[in-house]
Formats: sequence, structure tokens, C-alpha cells
Amino acid sequence: MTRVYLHGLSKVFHGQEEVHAVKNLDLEIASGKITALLGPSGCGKTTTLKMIAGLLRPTEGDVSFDGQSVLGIPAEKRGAAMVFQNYLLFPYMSVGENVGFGLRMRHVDKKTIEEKVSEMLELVRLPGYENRRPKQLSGGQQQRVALARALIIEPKVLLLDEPLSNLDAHLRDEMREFILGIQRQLGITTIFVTHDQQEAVVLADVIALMFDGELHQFDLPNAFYERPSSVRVARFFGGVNFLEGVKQGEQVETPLGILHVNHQEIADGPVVVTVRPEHLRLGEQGENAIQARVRSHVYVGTHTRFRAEADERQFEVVAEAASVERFRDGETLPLKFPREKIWLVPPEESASLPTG
Amino acid sequence: MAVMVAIAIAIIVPMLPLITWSFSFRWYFPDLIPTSLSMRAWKYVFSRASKAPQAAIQGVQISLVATLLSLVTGVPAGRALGLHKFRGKKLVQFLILAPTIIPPLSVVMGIHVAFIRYGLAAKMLGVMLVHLIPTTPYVVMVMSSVFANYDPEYEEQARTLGAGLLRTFIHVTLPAIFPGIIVGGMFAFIISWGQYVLTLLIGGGRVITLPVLLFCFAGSGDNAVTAALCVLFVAPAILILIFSSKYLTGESAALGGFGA
Repeated sequence: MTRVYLHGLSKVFHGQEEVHAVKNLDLEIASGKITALLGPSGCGKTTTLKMIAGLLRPTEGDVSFDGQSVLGIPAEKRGAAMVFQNYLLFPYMSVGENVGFGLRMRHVDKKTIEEKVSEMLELVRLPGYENRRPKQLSGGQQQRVALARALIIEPKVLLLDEPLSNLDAHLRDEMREFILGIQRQLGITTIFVTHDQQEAVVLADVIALMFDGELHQFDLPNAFYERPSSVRVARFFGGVNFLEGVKQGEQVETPLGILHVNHQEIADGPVVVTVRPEHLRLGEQGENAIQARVRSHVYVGTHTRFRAEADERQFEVVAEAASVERFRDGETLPLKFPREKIWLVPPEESASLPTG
Repeated sequence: MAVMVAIAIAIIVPMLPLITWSFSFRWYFPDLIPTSLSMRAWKYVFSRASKAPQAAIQGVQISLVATLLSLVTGVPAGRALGLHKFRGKKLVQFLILAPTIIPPLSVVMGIHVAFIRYGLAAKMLGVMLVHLIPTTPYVVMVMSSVFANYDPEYEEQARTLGAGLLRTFIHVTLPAIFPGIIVGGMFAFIISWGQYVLTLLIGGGRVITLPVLLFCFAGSGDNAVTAALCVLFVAPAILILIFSSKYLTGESAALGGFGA
């Protein structure tokens, strides 16, 4: 069980132009938990992972395991095993040799290696696969071999690069359960990177969201939906309903009228109101209800998505499936912003909020 | 197997007249085959008097060392060109390839002066070093295309599993680039083996290899001995080609020149 601290971590690549891949990153990664580094491609998450692994040297800052700086320890002695996105099984080795690679590098005797390899293959539910070739395995099986190869060295930290993105949809759920199961069983501190917020939410205990090399929010998965730190974070997690206004106490004055909100930490002044599509109530009267016209709808079986318009501003509403029969396109209805579901974020600096 | 047979036919058939010559005693126009055969030329070639055995041994030594040295320099150079982008890459590529376009004769005079100063002229080591001029471009060309198709993340993977730099190279990099090393090394050996001008100028007539000897006999008018020497000269190249043909075919061959 290892706690990982990243302190003021920065990485600058000096190529034909300078690229600040990671900027002053502070992160405290809890021991025995799964932490996701989430962000769009090019946000510096893989660079961060490689700095933890010891494959890249930080330009500034420190990486420490259990309070001990590991910057002076080369990758091969750091005990941070990484599983790459395309598994990278050594093609000229059998499955058994692949899994035993780390122990062979540690000069463990042959018999012990054999025992450990078969134990590991059992753990990843591929018993007896020692003599297969990596090429003969499916993508999911290759990934499980790669996982076994990383786990056999009993690493302090397990690093996963996009663990689910290379898998077919039906394999993803299985693999997720599988990784969670093994991680819970071994209690190993796990850090993975992904660009897919869905993947982060279903697999991680804690998520660190990065944009442009900077940490934007470090929180529990549900917080990104309920309490995003900015419009950008909200949008990355599928937030589409934004309304600018001016906060005063427990009221926000918006172009669509005054909205009553619960007490929130954010200072009085300009704010942006966010409400998730599944929290807006179409056709409901009462506090915070505005008049909106239904523009269009999509019936998706489990629910119905409506697009509503108020004063040239568009809102998306996810309502129960049956409401497809209740509301007609073109109808003007009340649209309620439930007080307890409203979340206020600071206005974007560029001040260019999309109205549609 | 079929490939090996095809290579053998394509190479050995054109050599049949040469082989016939080497066994001939008398072969005058307009006879289709020699009127009488003999082992005279072969016996002479394999005797100490012809200097051919010593020349062959010396040639093998020179070519092996030249091959090794061009691999030692060419593999890292090929890696840099195949994997990385850097300023002046095109210029470096051109300079490395230049010896395949520019006749080595144009620079070897200057090199000779320098080699005399460093005591390398008329020495085996000098000849080995000067052979790097024509051999290195081929090794670099082969290795850069090998590395262009190579994923260096395999090395990172090995590092995080506990392999140090040296063991990563031995267990991960080397097996992946091995076909390229065989092909590049083979090119280097054959090119070095066939060098005449460079060997003669730097060796100063003291370092005798088969091509040097061959030119002497070709001027002497003894066709049978010249033919026997020719066969001896070509034999290693053919053997190498046949043994390494499996690396030249199929997916392991990565011979596309400089990969981007």
C-alpha cells in the first residue's frame, strides 16, 4: 500500500518549440485506491503517468512514494509497473515468458518463476496459457496477460494507460469488473489515465481532471456531475445547460428571471448557473419555473431527450420515457430549475457562453 | 525453400562458364566445352604459392571487423534517423548516404595522407577503417527503416518491469531489430569483401585481399586460375545470401530505405 504524492510537478518538452505538457501539478493519491487522471488528449496525463513510472524526468517538482522522493530511483527499481494501452506483449516470447519477464530481470530462480507465473495466470483467469503466443490471444486476453506481467513483480503502484479504450463495448464491462476485482483483492494503489469520462467514472474511486497540463478538479466521481468547478469541467462531463447571471445571496438574477438557489460557497457577483439535463423538470410549475417552448425531442427508450428554448437560449432536458406522449414539439410549457439541483460556477474568462 | 532455390538458380547459372573455366586445361574456340579438364588451377589456388588462402583469411578478418564496426556505428545512427525528428536531419541523411553516390576515390587520397600520419596506412586496421566509408551507409539505411517500424514503448515497458538499460537492450531491443542487423551486417560484409580500390590504396599493396589478388591474375592471362579465384571470391557472398534469404523475405524484411 503506497501513497503517491506529486508536488509542483512540471514537464517542459524542448523540441522545435517549447511545450509545457504538465504545469505545477499537486496531487495526493490515496493508497490502495484507484485514481483516474482524466482529460482530453494532449492534456499531459500520460506525461504525468510516465513521470510517476520514472520513464520521464520532471522539469520541476517531485514525485514521492510514502513520503520518500523517488526521483533518484530509475524506472526499473521504482516498483511502478505500467500496462500500456496496446499491451506491448513481447511478440517473440510465449505468454509464460512474458508474465515471468519481471521476475527473470530480478534473477528469481526458474522454479519459483514457473510457480508464480501459473499463479498469476490463474489470477487473470488464463490458467494453462503459458505456452501460447501473444498473437494467438484476443485483445482482452492480451490485456489480462499484460496485467499479470505487471502484477507479478508486486509493484508498489500499478499504472494503467487507457485500460478500457482498446476493447470492444461488450468486453469493457467485463474488463472493468475484472480490474476492480483484482485491485480490491490485492489492494494495490492504482493510477490510470483516460480521455473517456465514462471510463473514469466507472473505474475510479477518485478522479483528477486535467486540461492543458493543469489540474482543474480532483474529486469523487459524482462531484464532477453535481459540483463541477467550472463551465469547462461541467461541459466535459456532458453538462449542456448554462445560464449566466449575477448572484446575490440566495438569488441569481438571470436574463430569464430570478432563480432561487441554496446557499453556495461562491462569492456574490457574476456566475454561471448549471443544471444537468436529467434534473430540469419540464411541465412543472412552482419555484424557479420559466416559460420554455419545446423545440424537438428524441425518444431513446429508457428516457426522452427534449430540446427546449427560452428567450433564444436552448436547454436540454432528459425526462422519463413516457413523457414523449405528454409534450408536443412547439408547445410552450413551464421549465423548472429545482433549487437544490442548481450549481453555480464562476463565469468563463472569455465570457462567450453558447446560447444554443 | 522455393526462394532459396530461386536465389541459387539465379546466381549459380550465370557462373557456370566461370566454373567450367576453372576446371579446364585446354579450351579453344569454337569448342563448346573444354577439350580436356584438370584440377591444376584449383590446386594452385589452394597452395601457399598463390597467396590466395592468406588473402581469403585476411579478407574475412577485415570484412568481419568492418561489419562489426559499421553495425556499432550504424545501429545507433539508424535509430536516431528512424525514430526521431531533429533539426538538420535531411543533411545528416545526405551526408551518410553520400559515399554511395560520390566515388570513394575522391576522398581516399586525403584519408591516405591522414592515415600515414597516424600510422594506419598499409595496415589491416587502416583497411578495416576505410571500409567503413562504403559499408556504413547501407547499415544506416537498413537500420533506420527497421527503427521506423519499431515501437520504443516496448523498452519503456521493460524498464517499468525491472529491466535496466543494458538488459532492456539485450532482451527487448535486440530481438526486435535482429533481422535488420542480419540484413545490414550482410550488406556490410559483402561490400567490404568486394572492395578493391580502397584496399589497394590504403593497404598499399601490403594488405592483400582476394579482389587485389584477382586483379593481379586477371592481368596475367591465366584464365583458369583467374576463374578459380573468381569462384572463391564469390562463394562467401553466395553462401551468406542463401543462409540469410529468410531474413530478406516476408514481413521481417524492412528494406525501404530511410523510413520517415
